Amino acid sequence: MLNIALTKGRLEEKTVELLEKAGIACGCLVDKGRKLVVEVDGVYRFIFAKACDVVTYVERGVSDIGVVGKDTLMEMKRPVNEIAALPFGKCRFALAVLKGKKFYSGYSLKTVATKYPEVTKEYFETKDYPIEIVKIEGSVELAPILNLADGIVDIVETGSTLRENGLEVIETVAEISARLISNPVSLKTKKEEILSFCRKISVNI
Amino acid sequence: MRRYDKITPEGTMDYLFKECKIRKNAENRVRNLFENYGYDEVMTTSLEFYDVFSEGVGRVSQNELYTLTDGSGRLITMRPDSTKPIARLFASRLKDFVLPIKLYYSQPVFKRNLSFNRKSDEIIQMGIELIGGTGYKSDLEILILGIKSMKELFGDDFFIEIGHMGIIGSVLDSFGQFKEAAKSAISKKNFPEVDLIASKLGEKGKILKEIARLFGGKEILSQAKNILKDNQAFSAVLELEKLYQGLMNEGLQDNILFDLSILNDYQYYTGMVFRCFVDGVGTEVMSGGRYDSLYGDYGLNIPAIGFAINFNEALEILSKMEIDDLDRKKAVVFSSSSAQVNYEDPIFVELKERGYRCVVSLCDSEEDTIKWANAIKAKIVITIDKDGKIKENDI
Repeated sequence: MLNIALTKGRLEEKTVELLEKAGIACGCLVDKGRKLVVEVDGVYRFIFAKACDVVTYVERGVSDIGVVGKDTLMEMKRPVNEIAALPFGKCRFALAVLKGKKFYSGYSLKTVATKYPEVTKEYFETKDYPIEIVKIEGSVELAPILNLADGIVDIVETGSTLRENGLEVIETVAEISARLISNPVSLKTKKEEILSFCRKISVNI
Repeated sequence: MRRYDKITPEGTMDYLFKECKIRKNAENRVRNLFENYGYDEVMTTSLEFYDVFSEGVGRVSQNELYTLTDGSGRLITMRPDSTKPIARLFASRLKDFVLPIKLYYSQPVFKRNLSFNRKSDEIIQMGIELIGGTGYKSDLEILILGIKSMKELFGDDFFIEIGHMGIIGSVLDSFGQFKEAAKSAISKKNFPEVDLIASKLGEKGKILKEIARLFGGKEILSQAKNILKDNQAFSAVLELEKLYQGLMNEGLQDNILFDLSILNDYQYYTGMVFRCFVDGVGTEVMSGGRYDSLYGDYGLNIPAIGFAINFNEALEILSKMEIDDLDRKKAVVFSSSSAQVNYEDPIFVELKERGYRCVVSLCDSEEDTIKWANAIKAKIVITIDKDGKIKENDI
């Protein structure tokens, strides 16, 4: 039995669509109601979880593989194998500031608000540019508007939220898409099962 | 207010009763194996100077170390592994001994982990160090000991994965400026990243894509020979083939896997590497290999090879298996007179022969004794009255 963890929400729709198209799950994943665990033909067991939990379950090996966004993987930095990029969930991490503002001007220590402190820290460390990070849980756009931060690092898909709030992207930090991840041990001990699952959903690894 | 006076820090645990039994029993089985192969035990100090781990091949990153200061303000660390302390021990007190030296150890190591992910900060390790052991015979002996120790613990329910740093090392060296990126991608088995780098490398990239995917049964080795024409890498594959043959001669060829792009601790290992997986456990239970450059940290040119078993992971697996025979049934012995039970009473010998472990009741009444016997899950209560008459009650 292959244990597969799926990220709830937007990625779930796309993943289920992919599984339906491959003929793996006929309806039972769409009409799962509030169930968190769905077994298919005794071959696959799907669980539905929040993105970070998908990574934790796969890291600990209670799920063999999982589907999760690259953003979560970059923030959590856990030892899981990223075995394939999936053709959905495409967006990017970007640094954005109030329109017209120059982030790097002057000598003052800049503050960056973000939901992704690890990604932000690593990005500015590789640029050798010291900053202060403020962790925000909800709409990060508020921080520069309220003058709490000089800029934000956040996920940008179309950029319309930024525009409507008077912000603009000045740098791309990283490109993101959905990833198929695997527990390093499962990749070895369940190699054939994982490869056959990938073949079914037409993903080359 | 004392907030933390009843709990232990995250990543640590106390061992109770059956947990201790499983742990000691498992340790003893592995210890016997090591002793039978002529390995001698060493115990190193739990507190080491930070300098032992600050630089070189045996360096451990600062954020993984538990550090404190000694009375003179010098930086001390709880030992994060046993191999480097044993190298230190060798460099100071054993360097005039005739090589090879065969050692084993059984002691905890301390490493900081992220909170709340069920990983231990205090890991009980048992391991082997073959100092000055070089060549095929040493590699094979260590591999055999590694596999046999897993057999002692898990029967046949495990996989051994073998690789060789010489293969991926020589391939990586030909990648120039892309070496670091390729190393990172390949060690994480991040295939999208591997393929991206491969596309930048042109013709040479083909080998990167292929080698990243070279893992599986022994058929991998013949595939590898087709792919790798490079001399050093090719001879490493031949080494693995020879080792597999050696394992077959010992009847240990079952559940052997190969992964030719293992890159864990890239700077540490220099030759054959191996590790053990158990189905359903997300991390490796044992890992080891050849680390010929570690003694270079002490200016010594001495090859070495060894492995370490992560007993915390092993115990978690063992506690899920059936191990009833460890739990001998208990008999509670009670004296109904005011005198204490005479420990020389022949009843103790008789009960032992019947397979019981005797526990003397310190209660004042038979009623309390039976309550207590129930609580400790004893099978029978033996009451000795003041005339020495014996009564037996089943619980």
